[in-house]
Amino acid sequence: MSDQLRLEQTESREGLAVVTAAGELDLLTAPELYQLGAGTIEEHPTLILEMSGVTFCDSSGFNALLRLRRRALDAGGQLVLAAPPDQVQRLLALTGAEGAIPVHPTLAQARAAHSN
Amino acid sequence: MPLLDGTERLGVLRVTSVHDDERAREDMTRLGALLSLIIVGHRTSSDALARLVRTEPLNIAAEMQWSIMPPRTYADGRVVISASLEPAHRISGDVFEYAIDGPLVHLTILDAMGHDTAAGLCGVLALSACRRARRQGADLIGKTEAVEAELIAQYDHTRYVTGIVATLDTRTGVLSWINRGHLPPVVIRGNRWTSRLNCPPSHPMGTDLGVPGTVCREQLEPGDRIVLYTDGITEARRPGGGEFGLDRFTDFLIRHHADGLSVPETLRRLTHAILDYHDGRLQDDATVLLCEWLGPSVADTREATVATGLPEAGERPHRPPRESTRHERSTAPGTDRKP
Repeated sequence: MSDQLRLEQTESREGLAVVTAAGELDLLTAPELYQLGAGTIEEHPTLILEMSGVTFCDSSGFNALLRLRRRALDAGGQLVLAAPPDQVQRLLALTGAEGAIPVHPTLAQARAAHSN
Repeated sequence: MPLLDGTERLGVLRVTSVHDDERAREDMTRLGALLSLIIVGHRTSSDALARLVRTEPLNIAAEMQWSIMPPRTYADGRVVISASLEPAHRISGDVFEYAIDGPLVHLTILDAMGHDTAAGLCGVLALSACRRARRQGADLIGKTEAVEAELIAQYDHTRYVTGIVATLDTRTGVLSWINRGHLPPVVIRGNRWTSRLNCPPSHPMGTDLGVPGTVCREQLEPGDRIVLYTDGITEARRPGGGEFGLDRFTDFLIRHHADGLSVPETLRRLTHAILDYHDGRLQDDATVLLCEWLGPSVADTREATVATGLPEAGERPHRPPRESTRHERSTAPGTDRKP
């Protein structure tokens, strides 16, 4: 039933990487996102997650985002969300996490704001 | 005869007597009361009773969680409280609690992330930490901070729990609450008006995001119903369809209240409506904790009696509620006991 999660690291340069996620983020797929994201953060502490293709995100998916945020901060970078779907934006508002994770409407804007 | 533990409906007793008079009815009432006490006394030690009550096997999370939650219905002169948690035999992570503390009534609903045994374990840990802090005198913020500290100690930021922790002062009708990343409570007034109790949320417990906690307050009127619920009620979708939704949820509560249906029976029918909407299968726990504030007086229990659907003193016992449904029930008809 679960629409599989597709992950791709689309670019990386000094300290910053972009991962594109598409499909469903749930109990089954969230660990894949976390593992790939955590691995990416080891090399590039700032991770931009492009989410326009994410069709579903439950509490387990949201938890993976919070864990990656923590991981990135510990590594001296940050987790940045680009084009998160409404469901993720609702979760961010509901949980008071809006101020804790930078969000941008598009990948281009996220890249512009977080490249130095 | 209804078998009752306070206002919780344990089941139904059938008594056959050759006598049909007042004395026989009184004896039956007393027999029912005595049997109820015996049953309740064995609830925590009897496997035979557990097997009788369950209509299907419990998962491990349900086995853990039901053992720490209070009975699903409570009432005195001041409040009527009723809760529903589905799928009752396969819950994973939603927990509720209420506790009476002199004039204060504490209400808690928690939703541990995930839908597995780990979520159940996390929910039990969170509720236990909250309860322990409360019994040691913690205030609303203190309780949620105790939960957060315990979750971080055990799970090191890898699991979180959202929730509403509230206290109703039955002397004044002031409800105070803190929202930890959860859906806002709703208040239903009369059969006309509903309001979401918005309060700036603090972060989910266990995430340590540093969003400060805010305690909000609302002055209630007698008869107001406070509704705490989890996203399994409003947000679960059916294939190809939209969400059950907050409006459909509150409309349902209002309509059945207007029809004079008791609170436990309303929640039982709500469960069936949500199951129907999802073609009989829930993907997430769906929990409601409803508390009606009647007023400050403990002693006057007439309203509470009606609201919980119990026979009034001296009245002939009601026929147990009957209802047909296409779906398997999680509890026997006419009861609101835990599985």
